[in-house]
Amino acid sequence: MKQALSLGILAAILFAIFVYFQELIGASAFYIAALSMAMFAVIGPFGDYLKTGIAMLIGVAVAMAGIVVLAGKFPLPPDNTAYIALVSGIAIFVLVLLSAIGLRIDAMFIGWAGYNAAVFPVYLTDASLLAEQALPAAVGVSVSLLVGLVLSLIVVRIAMAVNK
Amino acid sequence: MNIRRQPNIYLVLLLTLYLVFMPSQAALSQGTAKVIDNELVVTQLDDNGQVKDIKVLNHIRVFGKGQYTIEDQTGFKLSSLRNLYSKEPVSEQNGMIKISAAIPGDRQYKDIYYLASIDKKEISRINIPVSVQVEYYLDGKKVKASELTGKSGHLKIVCTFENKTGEKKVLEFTDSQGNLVQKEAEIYTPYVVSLSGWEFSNKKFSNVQAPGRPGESPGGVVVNIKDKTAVSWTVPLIPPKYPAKQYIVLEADGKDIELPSFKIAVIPVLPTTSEVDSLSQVQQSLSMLYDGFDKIQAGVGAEDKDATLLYGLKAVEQGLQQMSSGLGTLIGKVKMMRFGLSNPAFDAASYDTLKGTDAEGNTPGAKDAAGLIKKTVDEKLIPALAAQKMVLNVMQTTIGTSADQGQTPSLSTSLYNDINYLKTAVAGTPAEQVITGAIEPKLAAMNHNVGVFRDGGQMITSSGTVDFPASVSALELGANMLSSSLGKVDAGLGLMVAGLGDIDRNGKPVKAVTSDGSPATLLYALAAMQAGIDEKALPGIKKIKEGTGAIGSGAGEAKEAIAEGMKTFASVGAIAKALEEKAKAADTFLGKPEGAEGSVAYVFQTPEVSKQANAVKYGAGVIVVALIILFAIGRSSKQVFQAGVQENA
Repeated sequence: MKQALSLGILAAILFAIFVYFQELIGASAFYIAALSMAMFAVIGPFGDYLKTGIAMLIGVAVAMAGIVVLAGKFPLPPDNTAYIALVSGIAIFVLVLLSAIGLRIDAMFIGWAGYNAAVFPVYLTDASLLAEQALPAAVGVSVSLLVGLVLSLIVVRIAMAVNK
Repeated sequence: MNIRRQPNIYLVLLLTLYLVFMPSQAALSQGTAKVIDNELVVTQLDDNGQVKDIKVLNHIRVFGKGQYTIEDQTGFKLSSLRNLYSKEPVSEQNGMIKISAAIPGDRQYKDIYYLASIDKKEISRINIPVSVQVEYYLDGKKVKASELTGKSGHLKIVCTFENKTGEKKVLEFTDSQGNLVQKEAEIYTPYVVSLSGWEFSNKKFSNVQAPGRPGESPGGVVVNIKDKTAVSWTVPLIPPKYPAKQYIVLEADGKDIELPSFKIAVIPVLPTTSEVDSLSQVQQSLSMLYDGFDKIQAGVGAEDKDATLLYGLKAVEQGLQQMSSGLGTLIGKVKMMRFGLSNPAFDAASYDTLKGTDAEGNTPGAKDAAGLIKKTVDEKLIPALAAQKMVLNVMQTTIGTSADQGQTPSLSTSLYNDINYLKTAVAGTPAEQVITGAIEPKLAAMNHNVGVFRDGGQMITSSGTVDFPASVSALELGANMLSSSLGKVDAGLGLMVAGLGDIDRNGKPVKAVTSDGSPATLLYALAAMQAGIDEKALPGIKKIKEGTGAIGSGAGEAKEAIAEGMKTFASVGAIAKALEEKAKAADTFLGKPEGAEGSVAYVFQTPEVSKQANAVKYGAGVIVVALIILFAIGRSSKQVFQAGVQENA
C-alpha cells in the first residue's frame, strides 16, 4: 500500500510539474497528456512505447495536414461542413493504411484526435488563426502526448521495479 | 489561411460597411442587377513598423436572378486569390478577377467573399491613403517590436498617422455678401483612424496611460477591467478641422513584456453637417467683429489722414518738437540775458575802464556794471564832493566876514580882516571909497556865492540873484542817492541773476531745485522742460504713435484674417461637399466591377510580441528528449514479450 501511495505521489508530482511548465514548452492542452498516460493500460509493461509515440506523432501530422488543407484550399465554415467530412474521412483512411505497416492505429487516432481537439474550434471560429497556430498546436499536442507517454512508461517501470 | 488574424472582426467591419451603404443599394437594385463591392485592406506591419504584407478581403454582393459573371478589376499584381466561403471559382487574368456564380431562385442576392494577396513586389509602389508608422520605445530607447519580448521597463508606443490624400482644388461658393467666390483649398479624403481594443494584461503592465496633446495627439480612453486594461483612440484626419498628421502615444510599465497584434482601422467617413448648420450665427458675429476692427482701423488712421488718431498724434509730436525748439531758443536768449545781467567770468577787481574789460577780456554784465558804478560813486565821487565842500569851506573862511578886523594881515587872516585893515589905512581916501563901494560888496557876494556853491541857494550875480541848484551838497546828496540806488539795482539784478540761475562751464544751466524737488531757477526750469519734452514727451508720443500704428495694423490684419475666416466659413459648405465627394470617391483599393458601388476600409496589424516562438522551440526540444527516452527505455523487449506470449499461451 505504501508503495502504491508513493508511486501515486510520484506520478502526481511529475504530472503537476508538466502542467506547471506547460506554457514554457508550448503544451497548452495538458489534459491530452492524461489521455496518452492511459495508453500504458493498452500497451502494457512490455509494449513498444517508442513505436506508440511515433504513431501518435504521425496521427498529429495527418490531422495537421487535414486542417491545413481544409483551411487553405476549401471553402471555410460554417456553410461548408461537407469538406470537413471529406477530409476527415480521407485522414482516417490514411491512418488505417498506415497501420498496415505496423504503426499502432490507436496511437495514431489519439494523435489525430488530440490535434483536432486542439485546433478544430479555432478552424470553426477563425480559420485565419491557424496560419500562426497550426504548427505551435502540433508541437503542443505532440509534447502533451509524448510527455504523457513518457510518464506512463516511467510509472510502469517503477511499478514493475517495485513489484519485483 | 491568408489573413493572419480574426477575420470575424473583418467580417463585422465589412458587414458594417454594407449596412451603411445598404439603403442606396436597395433603391438601386429594383428591376436591375446591382453589384456592391466592399473591400477590407489588411496590412501587416513588420518588426520595423513598415508594411510587410497586404491582403484584401473583398465582399461582393450581386443582386438579381440567375447566372452571372463578375469582372472585378485589380490595380495590382496578386500573389494569390481565393474564394473564402463558397465554391465558385475565382480567377485572375490580365488584371481582371473573374467570378462566375448563380443566384439561387429563393434569394435576391448572392455574396462572394474572396481574399486577394498583393504581390510583395507591388508593395513599394502602393500608396495607401493613410500612412501608419508604429514605433516602440523601452526606457526611452527606440527598439524593434521583437526586441521587447520578455523585457521589462517603461514601454512607450507611438503611432503616427498621416492623411496623404490632400490635393488642391478650386472651390466655388457664395460669400456673406452674396458674391460668387473662388478659393483654392487642399481637400483631403476624410479618414478616421480607430484604435480600439488594445488590451494589456494587468499581470504584465501597470500605469497604462494614453496621454494626448491638443492639436497634435488625441488622448486615449483607458478602461481597466479586472485583469486587463483596454485602451481606445479615435483619430480624425480631416483637414481643415483636424490636422492631416497626428499621433497617439501609449505608455506603460511592463514586466516580461508580451503584446498581441494590435489593430488599427482606417475608415473613410462622410463629414457631418451639424457644424455647417450652426455657422450663420458665427458668421454674423464675425461680421460684427469685422465692423469693430474696421472702426478701430479707421479711427487709428494714418499720419497724413485728417481727423484720425495718428494724425492727431503727429500734430502733438510736431507741437512738442516746436515747443522743444522754442524752449531751446528761449534758453539761449535767457542765457544771453543771464550773461547780460551778470558775467560769471567777469573779474571786477581787474576791470580796466579804458578797455571796458577785465584782465581776461571779459566784459561786465549789467549787475557787474552797476557794482562798478556804485563802487566808483562810493569810492570816488562822494569823497571828491566832500573834499570840494571842504575846499569851499576853506574858501569861505579865507574870505571871512565883514566883522573880521583888527588883526594885522597875514597868511592866516581873512580877506575881510585884510580889507578892513586897508580901509582903516586909507580912510578918507578914494581908496576907502573903492574898498567900501566895490571890494567889500564883491567879497560879501563871493562869500555868499561860495556858500551857495557849497550848499545851494540864491547865487548873487551882477544882474541880480539866480537859483543855483547844482551845489556841491546837492551833488553829494545826489551821489549818495545814486549809490543807494545802484545798491538797490545791484540787489535787484542779483535777484534776477539768481532767478535766472547759474550756468556751468559747458553753458548748461546748473541744477537747482527747491525742497519739493521742483526747479528753482528759470534756466533750469526751461532746461528741465526741454529735457522733459525731448526725453520723455517726444519718445512717449513716438511710442504712442508706434503702439497706435500697431493697433491700426493689428486691426487691419485682424480684419483680413476675419475676412479670410468669413470666406473660410462661407466656404465650409463647399469644403464639406468636396469632402463628401472625396469620401464617396474613396470606394475601392483593389478595384471594383464597373458600375458597382464600393466601399473600402483599411486595417493595419502590428506584429505580435510573444514568447510563442520560444515555446515551440522548447516544445520541439521536449519532443526530441521524449523520443530519446522512449528510444532508450520504451522499446519492447522481444524476448520478454515473446516469452510472455508463450507463457500466456
